[in-house]
Amino acid sequence: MPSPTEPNTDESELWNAFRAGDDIAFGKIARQYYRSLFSYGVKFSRDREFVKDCIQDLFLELWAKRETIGDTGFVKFYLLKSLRRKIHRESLKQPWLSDEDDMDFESENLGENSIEQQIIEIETNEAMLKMLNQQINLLTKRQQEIIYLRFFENLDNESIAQVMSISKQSVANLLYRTIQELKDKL
Amino acid sequence: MNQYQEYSLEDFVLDARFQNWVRYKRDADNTFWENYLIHNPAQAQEIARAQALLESVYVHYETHLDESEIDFEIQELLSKVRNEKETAFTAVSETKSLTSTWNIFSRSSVFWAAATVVMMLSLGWVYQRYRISDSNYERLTAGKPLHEEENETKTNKVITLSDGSKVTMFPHSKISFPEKFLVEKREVYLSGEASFEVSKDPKRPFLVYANELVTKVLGTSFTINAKDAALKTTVEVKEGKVSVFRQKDFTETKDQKVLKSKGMVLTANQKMVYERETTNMSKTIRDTPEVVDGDDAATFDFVNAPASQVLGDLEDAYQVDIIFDKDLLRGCPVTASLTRQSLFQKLDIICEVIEARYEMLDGQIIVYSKGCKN
Repeated sequence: MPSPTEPNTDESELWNAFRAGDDIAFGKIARQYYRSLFSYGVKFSRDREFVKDCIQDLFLELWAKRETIGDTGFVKFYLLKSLRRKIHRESLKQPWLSDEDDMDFESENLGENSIEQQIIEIETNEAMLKMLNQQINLLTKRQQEIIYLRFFENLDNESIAQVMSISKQSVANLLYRTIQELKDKL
Repeated sequence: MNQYQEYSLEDFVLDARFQNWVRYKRDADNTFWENYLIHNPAQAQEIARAQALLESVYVHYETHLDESEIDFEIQELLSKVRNEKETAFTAVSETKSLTSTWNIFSRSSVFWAAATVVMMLSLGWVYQRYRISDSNYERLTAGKPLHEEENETKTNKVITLSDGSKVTMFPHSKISFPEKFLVEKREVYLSGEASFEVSKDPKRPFLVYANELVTKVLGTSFTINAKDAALKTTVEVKEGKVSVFRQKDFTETKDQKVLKSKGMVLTANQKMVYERETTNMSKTIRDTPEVVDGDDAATFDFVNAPASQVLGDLEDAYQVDIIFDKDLLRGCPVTASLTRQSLFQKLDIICEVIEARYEMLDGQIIVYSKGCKN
């Protein structure tokens, strides 16, 4: 995973080509971030097609704004934040999807079986992973989202705070608390 | 390495390098951390705990998404972007010109004939050019960093792919493929007719996208024939085993078990017919089954041989399932020279001799007989 703060030359070339209106370069950039965005998006809505639509819109907006977009350093963070906002907004238009003000963050519905299946595939202590899995379900939505962004996307506390619109201090506290809670189950 | 010596569990789980190791288990990281553990055994327990914690999070939030699903989305995105671009310049009508020329990708490609163990397999796709197949091909390849080869000559053209696989392109065919295949699969896109010799690599299935179908090479060698894209596409297997899926199922089904149930497995000398209208896939026997293994010397001369043995020999030679009552046909002697005939002619003759009949059902041959003991 290349560090977002030090874009290598290939990356900035790609980015420049995209800003100049090169659709092939744009396709490559979209591809690069697609998996991250989708994985994050489905934590808010189980409707995969809905999430895909949101990502399409998001990229189309990015394309429309290509000439005014600056640095590559913030792309991932910017995209994650925008997607989160978009899914939230779109869900409100469809009240049957979510009638809560707060965003629901949860794992895709894997079901007990498939979690177990995966655990078996990993050669680690089965019972322990099961315990941890239960513990993760007991975490608040916020805690879950924080560890997701920290462990999966490797965002720093500052970025997580901005994506989730909470203070950096809250992120730091919650992250620490979450790790302690999981650690206790080890 | 020293930076890690003061690390506790909390520090490890937040460390990017450590996270990547647990998540992707890449060789370089494995080496690094295994080596680190050897030199710092005191931290082994802390590391194991950090590993378990991260592992559980990764398992918990794992999201399944096929590469092909991403491809599809990116293509849709790019076609939207391109439409917007086109309309910005000229008022182009919504209907896309299917006969438009195709020059986005570079045709100058250099390939290396890899010295791999090459397994023979050949497949041919026949499509109606400039019709649906072209638009399908175009949609599938748009926006991907692929090389395209086109045969505009009147003779066959042979190219070699980066994995050592060879493609014989028939006139008026196009094929697109990456210069270097992905680690997990080899994907090619075809329009027209071509035959392939695919190098064996069980860890990297060879996938051919064409029309609404995806054909996946599972085992040894085979032939595919897809004709008349407007109505029917057919896949014929010469040798070995392939799976055929509707592209829609292939991209949308995330559960491998479910996908398996939606696909169709074809073995030697079987043929699948896909009908566009009904999207129905049916299995039958190839029009001209061939002896598998290329053993041209195989002879089928029988003198007073039990029909059960004759049919058994045919079953072995053509690797087609022939269903018959063994006990019943043991009593039916066959004397015939069947080396030159096609499989169906052989069956006709045998059935004539023993007063039986046969039919094909679901890619198998069933021989009906009342026996010969009277």
